[in-house]
Amino acid sequence: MYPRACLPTSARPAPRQVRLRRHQPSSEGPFDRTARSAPITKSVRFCRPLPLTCERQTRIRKTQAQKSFARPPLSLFLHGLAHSVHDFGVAGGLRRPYVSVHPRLPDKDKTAHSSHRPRQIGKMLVVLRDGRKLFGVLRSYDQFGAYESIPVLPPLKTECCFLAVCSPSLPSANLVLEDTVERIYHQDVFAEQWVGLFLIRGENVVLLGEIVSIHKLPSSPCRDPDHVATSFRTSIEKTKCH
Amino acid sequence: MPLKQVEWDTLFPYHKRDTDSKKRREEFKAQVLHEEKGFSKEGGEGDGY
Repeated sequence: MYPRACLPTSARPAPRQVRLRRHQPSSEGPFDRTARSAPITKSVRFCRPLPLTCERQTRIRKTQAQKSFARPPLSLFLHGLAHSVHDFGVAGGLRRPYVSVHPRLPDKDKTAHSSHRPRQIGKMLVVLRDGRKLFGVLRSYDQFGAYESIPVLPPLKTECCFLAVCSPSLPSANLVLEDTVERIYHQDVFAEQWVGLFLIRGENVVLLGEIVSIHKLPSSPCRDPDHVATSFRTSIEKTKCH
Repeated sequence: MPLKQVEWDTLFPYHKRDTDSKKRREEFKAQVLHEEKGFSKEGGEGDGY
């Protein structure tokens, strides 16, 4: 194809005609469809952005503020704080504003504010649908959480317990894990790799649970294998009933 | 029984071999269920919508 300047004048293509629609005030009132849809023809070579007036700047700031409220984790990515992301916004993006999770407080603060603060959530285990196991601090989640509480899943071979299982037929919450570590297992050994901030789409979550060391719970019933088996069976039956 | 921690690079080939074999097994299972029993593959990403 020849450049435009090399072609004779007769062979040069005419400037692109763009049909624009503009609302024109009419004497018949604002509901006059004929005047509103009347096309005007104009040659357009370049599309330049409109100058930013004060009103437009204010409107943009408001829109950006609304977006940042709806998607706080994304701002982390924009500032380069995020390390990795799993399956972010494949279909429709995040669904609702996230709920922030308070960080774990020191013991003295816990006693002082225990009646006024929500329950502190610490390190969590998340098992994804592709089998990956992530350990991280739960920082936020959205409102579509539908998890079944199950006390223990023994086959995981971890030192933690008190898990929640995502029901496959119900929507589950998107999660944000901070300071995440991926752990892999093979027989009786394991290995860890730090993966940073993780934004997990809810439908990929199979299992979610807070990590509680058994050794810190001397009276915990989960040390008794019979109790574990019974509670596991009960919770499975309860899930089937629903 | 407490698990023993090893280096990621040491364990990763074994883990990858396990996941690959599991994937092959699941795909074969899904194929048999689809061809002989009439099951369709479900539960993929986006099926919840």
